[in-house]
Amino acid sequence: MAIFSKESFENIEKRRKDMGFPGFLLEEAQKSFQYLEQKGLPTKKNERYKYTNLGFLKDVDFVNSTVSGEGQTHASSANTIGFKNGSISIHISDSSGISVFKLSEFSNWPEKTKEFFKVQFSKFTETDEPLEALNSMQFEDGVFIHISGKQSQSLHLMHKNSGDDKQDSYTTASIRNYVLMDSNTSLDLLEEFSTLGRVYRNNTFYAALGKGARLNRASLQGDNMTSLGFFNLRIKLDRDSYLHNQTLALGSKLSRNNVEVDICGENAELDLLGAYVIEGDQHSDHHTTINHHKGYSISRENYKGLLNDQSEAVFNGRVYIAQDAQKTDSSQLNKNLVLTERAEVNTKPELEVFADDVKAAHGATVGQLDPEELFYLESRAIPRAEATKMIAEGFIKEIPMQFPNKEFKNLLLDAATKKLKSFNLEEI
Amino acid sequence: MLEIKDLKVNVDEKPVLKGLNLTVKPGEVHAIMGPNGSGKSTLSKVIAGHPAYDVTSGEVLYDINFEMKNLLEMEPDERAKEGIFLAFQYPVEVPGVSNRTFLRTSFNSIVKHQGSSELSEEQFDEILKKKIEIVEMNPSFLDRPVNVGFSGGEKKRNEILQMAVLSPRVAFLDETDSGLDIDALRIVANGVNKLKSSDNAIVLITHYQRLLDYIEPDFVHVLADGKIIETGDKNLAHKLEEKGYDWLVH
Repeated sequence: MAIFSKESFENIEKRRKDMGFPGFLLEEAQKSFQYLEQKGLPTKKNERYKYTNLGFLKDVDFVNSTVSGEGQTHASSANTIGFKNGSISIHISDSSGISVFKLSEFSNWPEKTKEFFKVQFSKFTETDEPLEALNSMQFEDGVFIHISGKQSQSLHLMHKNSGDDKQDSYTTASIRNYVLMDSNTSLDLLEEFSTLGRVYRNNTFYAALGKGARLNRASLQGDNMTSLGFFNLRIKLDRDSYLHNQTLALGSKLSRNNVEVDICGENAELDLLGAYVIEGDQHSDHHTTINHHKGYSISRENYKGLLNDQSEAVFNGRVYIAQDAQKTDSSQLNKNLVLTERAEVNTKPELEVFADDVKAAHGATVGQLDPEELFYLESRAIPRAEATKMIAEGFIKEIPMQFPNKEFKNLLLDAATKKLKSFNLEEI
Repeated sequence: MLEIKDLKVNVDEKPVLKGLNLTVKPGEVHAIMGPNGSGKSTLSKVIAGHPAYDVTSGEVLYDINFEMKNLLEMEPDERAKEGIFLAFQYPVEVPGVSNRTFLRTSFNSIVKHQGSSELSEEQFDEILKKKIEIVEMNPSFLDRPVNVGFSGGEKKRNEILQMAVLSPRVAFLDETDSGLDIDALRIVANGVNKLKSSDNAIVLITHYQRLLDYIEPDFVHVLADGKIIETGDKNLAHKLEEKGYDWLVH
């Protein structure tokens, strides 16, 4: 089947209606379908897809999963929700203060929960992002996670999808998740992706943080090298809240992360981090947007890239500071270490500052290994390839090192190091 | 154990070493002195195998298991594994790599080359504890990134710590005394003296006689315009301190 057609959309729509999906999601899906019918899939003509042409998707065949087996995710001691080829399994301890509801079971939700959900998330629906629109019309299921307990909790979302490498078609996996955090709640969240075979996954994640809430979220993207990995993240921060969000992009042949954070209350604070460690023909695209709607807020953005072979990375960091958002303190950094001359990085900051009493710093670098650093390590009996890996590891691990939850931090560090250790550095 | 014969080296196509000869035997301490730009640092970098230096002629023979091998054909890490060490004039900062990891990786690389089994973190830490006493270094420096944010003196101490850990057979110390105050100089020099033995050799490259008050050389060489033009004992250093280099050069 094609990535979108009237026929396939009507099928999905009928299924969703039968399951009792909320009306605003059905409307949103309608709008998304119309949007895509009108605009088509993004190509290089679209400024935000200048370096990541998705036009080819219209010629690709997509199938539902029929393959057994699954990707491997890490084990952890946290509460878990598993997403495997469209089916969802929930393992949450009763005392956790975490409530989880499947979207496909919306009609059975408590009335109060339905109300919370609508109030918070019907506002999220307007999008000008084609991948988000695709998810909106395609997603099979997902969960609404409500955090209300006073104790800090940890939660591990595991996406394990499987496709078939022997086929030309891609197995689709589209999930949409929502997180609502009540005031002063705290959550450590690891969202992990692992695929087996050719998978097209396109997920969205929406979160709303109440006053004083704290969310530490990491996205560990370890999909296999034949997969397409797309992710759309939108998070709203109320006053005094804190978000640490980091993306560790290791897998997928082609990946795109759209990350958008809206700072909607004063004194909110954001650490927006990312690291991409890529090789071979991998293409990893990170588009981030931080909207400071309210002042006295802080955003610190730091994305680092490590590229081997002829891999390609895109970083585009937009920071918007509204006229009223005085005393905003925003900084952005994108540093890239390219291990070969064939690797390519396109990096671009986009600052739109309408307030006059703010700090808005940004910087971007693309560099090769410092030959003096290399020689220093070599002169201490460390062979060149190993020296390269040591320096590269030191460069990239700055990002996972900052994750506040120790167990998840170690998983992130291990995954990044493992990917780096697999690099073929013979030509260097 | 090390024989440098008629060594000629270009840097950016400009001749810097113009036929240098030097023979170093186990147990010896050599001092190479000379004015700025005479080629002192070039010599040490060439011995360690820096890729930016172009050897146009001559050879460097090095005794490996009773056989004189051409050192210049070996990669820098191979030279280090065979016991060649350079204490850098300007030690390099390596962000993100902890000093402890760096030292252990380096140590294990040599141990492995010698056919012994590598040490675990705990085993290596035991060794390291003793070695940092030699250079009177605060153990907190072990958990910081290599040389990052170290003062000039701390960097030099860290070089000698590496020398202590790696136990080289031939160590070139390139201006290790420069930028040190008198206390740091004493500590670094004491460290070197403790590491000196009848099996290894030390080549001190220095601008000033000051270091030689602490580490007594067997030979003092004057390097000028890419060649060794004078060799003597420690009294030559005193003479240079009094008279400068001009009386030799002209």
